Amino acid sequence: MIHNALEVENLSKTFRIPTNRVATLRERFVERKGMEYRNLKVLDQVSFELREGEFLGVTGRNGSGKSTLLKILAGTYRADSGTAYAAGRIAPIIELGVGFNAELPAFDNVVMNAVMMGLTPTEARRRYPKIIEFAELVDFQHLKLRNYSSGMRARLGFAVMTHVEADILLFDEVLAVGDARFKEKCSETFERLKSEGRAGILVTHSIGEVVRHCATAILLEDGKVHTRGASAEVVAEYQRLQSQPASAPV
Amino acid sequence: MSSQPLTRVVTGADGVSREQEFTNPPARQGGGRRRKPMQPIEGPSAFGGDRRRFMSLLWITAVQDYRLMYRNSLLGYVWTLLRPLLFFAVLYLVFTRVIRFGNAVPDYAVLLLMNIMLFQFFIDASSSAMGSVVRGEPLVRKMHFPRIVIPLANVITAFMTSLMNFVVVIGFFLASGVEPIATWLLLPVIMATLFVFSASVAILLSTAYVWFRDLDHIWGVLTRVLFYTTPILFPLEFVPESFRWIITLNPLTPILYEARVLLVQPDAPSLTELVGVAPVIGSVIVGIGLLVGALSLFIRQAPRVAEAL
Repeated sequence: MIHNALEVENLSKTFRIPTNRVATLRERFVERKGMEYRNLKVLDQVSFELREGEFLGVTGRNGSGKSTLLKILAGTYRADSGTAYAAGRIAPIIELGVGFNAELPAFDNVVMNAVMMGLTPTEARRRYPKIIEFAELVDFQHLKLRNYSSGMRARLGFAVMTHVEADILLFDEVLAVGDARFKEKCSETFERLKSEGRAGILVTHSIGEVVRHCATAILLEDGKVHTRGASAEVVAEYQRLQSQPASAPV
Repeated sequence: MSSQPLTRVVTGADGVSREQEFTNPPARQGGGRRRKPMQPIEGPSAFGGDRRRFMSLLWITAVQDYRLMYRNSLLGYVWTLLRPLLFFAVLYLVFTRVIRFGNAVPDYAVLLLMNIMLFQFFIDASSSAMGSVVRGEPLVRKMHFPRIVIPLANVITAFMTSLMNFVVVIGFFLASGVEPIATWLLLPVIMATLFVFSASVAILLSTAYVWFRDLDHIWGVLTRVLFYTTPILFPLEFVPESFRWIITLNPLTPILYEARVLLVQPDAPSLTELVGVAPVIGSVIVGIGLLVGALSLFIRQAPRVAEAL
C-alpha cells in the first residue's frame, strides 16, 4: 500500500497588492493617506496529490504561482481557501541558506537551521559532522559564512535541509545555483530521498530535471493547474505554452 | 477530509523509467522512518508548533545574538557596561556638584545607578526588538517557525546584558555600604516584572514597525520623554503631589520604586502611602493592558506579516 504524503485540495490565494503604500505614521496620520489595494489571484483552486517515495514536478511560466504554492506548503503564507494535508514534516528548500547568519561559522548556522526544522539542539549538533562532510566544507568550517562563496553557502543550505529527517521536501530551483558537481550530488540525493520513502516537490523550469526525477508533474498557468499527469506529457505541454505569447498582462 | 479514498495520480502510458517507479515501490521503512498521520499544514502563526522547539529556538537565537553583539570588539561586554556607567557618572556629577540637588536625596548615587541600569534594559529591549521582524524578513518569508521568537529573542539578549550589569550594580551597592538585606532575594521578581513589561512594549513595537517605518524616530523621542518622566534622576517624593498619580501610571515607576524599597531603602514609605491606591492599580492595568494588547495584535498579524514585508 502506497500512501499519500501530501494532499492539496482547491487551494486558492489572492494577494492584496498595495498600489499606494502607506509606510509611515506621518503619511497615515498627518497627511491622512489611506492604503489602496488591488487584488491579484495567484492561486486558483489548485489540487494535487503526492505519494510517498515520489517527486512531483511543478513547472510553469514566471508569475504562474509556483513559489506562492510552495510558500503555502512551507507554512509561511496562509491560503485563503482550500486544504493542504501533509504526512510528517516539511522542509522548504526555497532559497538555499535562508536564515544563515553571515557573521557566524557553519556550526552555529547548521544548528540554528536544523532546530528551526524541528530537530532538537542535541540532534542537530550530533548530525553536524555528517552535514558538513556532505557539503564538502570540512576545510572551511571555521570560516564565517560571510567568507563563503554563494556556491558554498548553497551547498551548506542544501546539506542541512536534506539531513533534518523531513518527510516532504520542497525544492525551488535549487539546481540552478550550483556547478555540475553540485547538481550531480543533488540528483543523487533526490534518488536517495525517494528510496527512503520521502516525498518531494521540485519547482523548476528545467525540463530535464522534471523528466529525470519526477514521475508526475503539474503545470501551473495563471494560478490554475493547466495540466496534471505524467511528467513527459506535462513538460511537452509546458514547451508548447512557452512558445505562445503570454495570455494576459498580469 | 483526509480519510476520503484518494484517486491515484494520473500517469501517462509512455516512458519506461516511470513504470519502474510504480512497480518498484521504494523501501518504505528504510532508515527507521515510520509513517506519520496526515495533518493539515499549519500556516504562519505567533506561537504554534510544539513548545520544546519554541524554547530551543528562542534560546539559540538569543544566545547567538548575544555572542554576535560582543564579537569583533576588543573589550566585548565591557562596552555595554561602559555606556550606562559613563552616563551615570555624568549625571551623578551634574546633580551633585553642579545642580547639587542629589545631595538632598539619601543614597543618591546608589539609586541613580540602579535606576539607570533598569531603564537601560527597557530601552535596549524595546529598541532592538522594534526592527527585528523587518530585519528578519528572509526568515519570515521562507521558514515556518513561531513568529514571536523574533522579538522575544531580542528581549532575552538585552536581558542577559542587563543581568550582567546588575552584578556590577550589586558590587557598587556593597562598595557604597548598602546593607545586604533579606529582600534582595526578591530581585528576581522585580526583574521578571520588568522583563514582562519590556517584552510587551517590544512585541507591540515590532508589529507596529512593519506598518509604520518611521516609528523608530518617534520611539527615540518617546524614550527620552519617558526617561525624564520616570523617577530615575529624582525620587518620586520630589514630584508635586498633584502630578504623582500620572507618573505612577507608567508601569516603570512602580517597578523602579519597588526596587528601591526592596534593595536599598526598606524603611521608605510604601508606594500606596505616597500616591494612593488608585494610581498603583491603574499602573497594573496599564501593564496588563499592554501585555494583552501586544500579544493579541501580534497573534492577529502573524499569519499575514510575511506578505506585508
